Amino acid sequence: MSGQPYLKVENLHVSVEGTEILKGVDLEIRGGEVHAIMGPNGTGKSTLAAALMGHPKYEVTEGRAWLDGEDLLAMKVDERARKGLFLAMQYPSEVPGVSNANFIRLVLNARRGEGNEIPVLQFHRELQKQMRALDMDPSFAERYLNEGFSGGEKKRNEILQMRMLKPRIAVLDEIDSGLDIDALKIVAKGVNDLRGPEMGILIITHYQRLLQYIVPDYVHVMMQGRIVRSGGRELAEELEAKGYDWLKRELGIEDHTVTSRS
Amino acid sequence: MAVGHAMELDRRVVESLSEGRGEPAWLREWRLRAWEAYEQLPPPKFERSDWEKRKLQDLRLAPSMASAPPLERFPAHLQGLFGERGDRSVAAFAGGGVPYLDLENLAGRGVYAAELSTAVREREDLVRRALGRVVDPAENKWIALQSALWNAGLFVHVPRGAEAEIPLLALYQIGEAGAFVFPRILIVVEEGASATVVEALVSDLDLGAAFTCGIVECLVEDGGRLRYAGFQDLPKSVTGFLVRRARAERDARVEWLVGEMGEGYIVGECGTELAGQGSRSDARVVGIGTGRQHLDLTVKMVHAGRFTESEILGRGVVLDRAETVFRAVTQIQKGAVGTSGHQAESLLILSPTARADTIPMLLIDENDVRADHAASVGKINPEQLYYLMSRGIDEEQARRLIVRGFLDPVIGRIPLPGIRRVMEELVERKMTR
Ligand SMILES: Nc1ncnc2c1ncn2[C@@H]1O[C@H](COP(=O)(O)OP(=O)(O)OP(=O)(O)O)[C@@H](O)[C@H]1O
Ligand SMILES: [Mg+2]
Repeated sequence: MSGQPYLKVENLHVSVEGTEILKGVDLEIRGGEVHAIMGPNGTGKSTLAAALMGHPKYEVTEGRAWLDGEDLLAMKVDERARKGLFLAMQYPSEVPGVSNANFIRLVLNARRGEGNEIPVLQFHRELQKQMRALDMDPSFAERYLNEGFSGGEKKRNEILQMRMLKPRIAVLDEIDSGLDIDALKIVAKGVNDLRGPEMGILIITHYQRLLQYIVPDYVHVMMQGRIVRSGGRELAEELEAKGYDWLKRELGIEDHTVTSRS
Repeated sequence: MAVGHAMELDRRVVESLSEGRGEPAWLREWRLRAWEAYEQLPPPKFERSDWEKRKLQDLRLAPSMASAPPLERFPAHLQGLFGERGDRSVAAFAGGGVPYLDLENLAGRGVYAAELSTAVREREDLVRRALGRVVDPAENKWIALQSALWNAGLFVHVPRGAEAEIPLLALYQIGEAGAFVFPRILIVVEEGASATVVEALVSDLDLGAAFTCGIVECLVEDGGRLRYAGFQDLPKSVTGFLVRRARAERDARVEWLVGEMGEGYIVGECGTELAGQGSRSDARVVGIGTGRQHLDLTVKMVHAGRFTESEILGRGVVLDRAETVFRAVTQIQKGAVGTSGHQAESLLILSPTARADTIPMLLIDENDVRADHAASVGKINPEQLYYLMSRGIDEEQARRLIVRGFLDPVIGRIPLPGIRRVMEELVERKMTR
């Protein structure tokens, strides 16, 4: 694949078990850009991420999405990944019995294709390098995938995978939750290192704090399944200062079901 | 012994078998007593198995004089077991005929190993004392039948202090057309001696209906060590009844590694009678059920001696329309104070039409003991599958990875690297068939 990465989402509607959660989302992300989506709990941020990745429980009822001009929604989960989409999950699964290193190597080789496998030594050198960059203890290579990892360790492991896989479009769903301030800085650096025209990034977060370390080019606010406002990085600061209620009042959103927290 | 087609089973078959093998009178009598027990005993009942309904008469029992195939004829995926000639000994059987034996490595270490009928001539007293001591010929109908008709026997004697650490491979090619193979393995490990035996039951032919009955009995004397690995990879046309049992005397150790990887209708049992004080036994068992197969596995640890320990670790994977029962029995007899018995077994069901049961049993007649069990039956977690696929591996591969991870606590802890690799290979093969 070559050219500038490009994700385009148009009027996306998504239901979970018959309930419509996303009610028409539009979004465009290009290589080199960092977008942030903020919003109160339960407004559909993770739903957007899951629908883009293709989680079987999330049904797209309307709208379209393209990755580099190809119909994203027609692809299976693994195909989306191989085309360059990556999702750092809010709640990564634990897979006992499968070592972290073996898994990452398998995943890399699945992308490279048969006959083009990465040499074992080269792989381990690269893995160690990336783990050092994230200040991860070498023992995490041989531990079972996410099993018994603390919340923060899981997040770091997601970023490790991202760094090893070098996706074209990365969606990071609350990678800051559960991180202490030092870990936050390390993870933010782990993301910032990859910033560049080769990759577009979508960050989902509640907190302005993360955005101080990974400074976004665009900020979107999601409420009730829609992006209700977009702006530059100053929008995040404004939200931090004034809270979501301010925006709700401005937009005239009546909202009794969702309590706002920021 | 007659070379023949399907034949009626009767007393004369036993007589001619014994005569054909040149056996002494006591052994002929031993076989005939077993035959009588076979005729009198009702078929054994296995909870949640319909084994007793299977009619043996429908199965072909046709003795032949086939001789053992050379090692190259054993399936390629098992060749990894064989290793280099200097690193192992081999006894390979096909049909009831002349086995292929390469036992020089053992002889060099003072270990005696021979075809069982030969051993009866060369080590008569020893065989006579040991045969049937751990597995009573009258215990049940199929054990009685096996005792009457075994035709592919192996005897191993590891004398006091000897170490047979290089593995002895006992290979049985069940698939010789028109032949029946009833393997019987008798092992005596004397005081302070140690041995490793690897047994494989295989077939590379597609048979008509075939029946096999196998018994492994092991006596491990004071301070002796036995590590026994048994694989079964038989096709779906085979009905099999397999018993592997050891008796551990004072401070002896017995380790079982069992891989039930075939596609046949199999009832299998393995376990140890912990007779001597301070003895210990571990069993790691993996079974994979596919097709319409029925797999009924029992692991049984019987604690009679004081301060004995056992641990059972079982994992099974069930696909297609297969049915699997995994029974784990920890029995602690009165007087076996200070013993501990642990067991953990879990089954993973991969298809909505498959059935799986775990039956953990703690039978405890003594107070001063520690015993516990954990049993579970589960399915693949769709969130795990999604997570793995989201990194770019396809669904099939993701499933296999989850299964491999599930089996890892058993397979990953197999101490012999060659066996571990073959086990992994067998799992992979069975999952992709
Ligand atoms: N698998 C599911 N089953 C049932 N309801 C779901 C499921 N996933 C999401 N929902 C519902 O959809 C709504 C949006 O959830 P989503 O996880 O997208 O919110 P979010 O914006 O990511 O919230 P948070 O900030 O708390 O992570 C919530 O009301 C949630 O309960
Ligand atoms: Mg969320």
